[in-house]
Amino acid sequence: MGANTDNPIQAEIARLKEYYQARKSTLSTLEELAGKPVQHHFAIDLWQLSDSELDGEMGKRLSFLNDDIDCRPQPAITSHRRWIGPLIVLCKKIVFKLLRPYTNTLFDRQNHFNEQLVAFHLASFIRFRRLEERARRLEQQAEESHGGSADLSAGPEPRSPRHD
Amino acid sequence: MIRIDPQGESFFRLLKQGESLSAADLDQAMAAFAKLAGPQAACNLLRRGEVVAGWRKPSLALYDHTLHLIGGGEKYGCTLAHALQDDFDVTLIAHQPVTAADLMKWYDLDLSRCRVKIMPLEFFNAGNRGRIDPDLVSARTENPFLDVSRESGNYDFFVNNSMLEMVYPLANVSLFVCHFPERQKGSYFYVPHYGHLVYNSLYTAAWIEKKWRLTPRHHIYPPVDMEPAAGVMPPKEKIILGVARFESGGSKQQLEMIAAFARLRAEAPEALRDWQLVLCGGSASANPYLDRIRGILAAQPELPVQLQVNIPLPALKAWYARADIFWHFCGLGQSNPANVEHFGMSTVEAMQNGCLPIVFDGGGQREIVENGTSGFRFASAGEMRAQTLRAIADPGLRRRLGAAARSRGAEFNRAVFTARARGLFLGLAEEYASGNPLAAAAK
Repeated sequence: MGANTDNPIQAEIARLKEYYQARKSTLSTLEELAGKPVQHHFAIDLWQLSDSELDGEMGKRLSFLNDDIDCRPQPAITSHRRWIGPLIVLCKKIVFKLLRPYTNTLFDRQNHFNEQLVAFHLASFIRFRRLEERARRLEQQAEESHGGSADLSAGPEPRSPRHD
Repeated sequence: MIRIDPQGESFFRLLKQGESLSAADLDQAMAAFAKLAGPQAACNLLRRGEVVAGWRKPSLALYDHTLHLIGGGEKYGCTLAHALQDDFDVTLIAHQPVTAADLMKWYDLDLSRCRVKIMPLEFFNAGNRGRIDPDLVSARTENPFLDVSRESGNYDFFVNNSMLEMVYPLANVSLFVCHFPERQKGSYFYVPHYGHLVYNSLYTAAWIEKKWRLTPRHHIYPPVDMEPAAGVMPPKEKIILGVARFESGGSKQQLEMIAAFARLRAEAPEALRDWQLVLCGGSASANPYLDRIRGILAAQPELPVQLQVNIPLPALKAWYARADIFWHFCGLGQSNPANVEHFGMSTVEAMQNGCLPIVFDGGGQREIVENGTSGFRFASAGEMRAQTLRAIADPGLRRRLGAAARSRGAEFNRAVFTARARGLFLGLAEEYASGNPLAAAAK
């Protein structure tokens, strides 16, 4: 509905709305839009997760660890100073390059450790999945041999039959 | 010079009373207000002022990131839009192309007074074939739904019907419709910032409390409208019906239904003579689970099982009308609460058609089927077989429980949904237009 031009206040409110709408569109963060601090992340309580949720979480965390294996610093070298900024950036870059062989020595060892640790976790994860599958098969066989209901007609018995 | 308080009460009072207010005074007051509260709050105040003054009806955006797909949650949202379109200026927000005509056809609803706005999300276009998967978002990525948050601030009411907790609401009145809390309280979790939390079943409410530590207040069961036309109820046939999507992961357990039917036939061949199992459901074109089912059925051609995939609504209605027993196994043997039926719309559809429901005793099914009165609930496959054999052996029991199921099913129809939804939203609209302080966000 367009603003009623016969009512000056209605027209003024429509104008102000457009003005603040334009100002709003220049804001880039949620905090600026909400006009207050916003908590974005919460720690997940792993104890509360179901088996399949834990599976997903393990996969996700493992992929994060994998992404973080290389811990050598790759800083973005900048300066906020207008005139001498480029000179400062150049100096910082030179210092950084001169020190790189020494820092790399330290970080290479850490990288190697990270790599081994991620591989170990992945191997444990795969082994765990295989053992779980084997346990499930044995459970089914045991129930079938007792004339139970674990064949295809039943599906696996619920570990927790009630979900409320 | 006027001064606007943080809730805007003094400003709304002036507007309602139509007292003289100069444009210069208003400019000054708004500038002072915006300095403290920010441009979004200033927009919200002005927007509400227009409604308080009675210059327009409130605008409402209903957001669903899977609106382009046919589903129960989407039907819930569209029925809500249908119920509210005369009292609100309704916009449906989606990410992938879909038209109001599509939605009207899919859900048999008049949405002619609703607009559809498509907001593409670049984040999901790279390497994900455009599929919007919130699980790809983590603390390490930006929040791709920030644009939806920004858009939410352009309406008086914002309804998140998406179960997508990563959208921060910036509208004056915000509602989060939760069909199930699928994800944990993790990255970009903004549900506590919504003013109102709506839930579709007591099962969902219990898991909202457990997973998110939030107490939802508004309970509206999903709308189910599969009731046959008055007086039209053809005679029942010896059909056991299962209606559910053929999920690629097999969570609806159609394979288990086939095996259970085969086992019943082996255990009680006389009782099962002339009975057939019919499995109806939608499926994507490539579906390995459906292929597996087809393979199993091809290997047992003597088994009277029919697959009805992606059939039109009139054909589905005909199966409901003819079937005498309805099976629903979803949830059996599951440890993940998300894999248990959160409500069970197809069970209600069957009940509205006088089918005797035999369903898994878990999730929302408990709120629908009264065990022994309007159907049976089972906790194990053995119990299910016993209940089915009992129903097959006793036509009188089928008639009696089928009739009870029919009246029970009517308690979840579209009229009931519409009345509850309108009760909630019109109450909120009245509070909004009064200019009084709004209820605080649900914590």
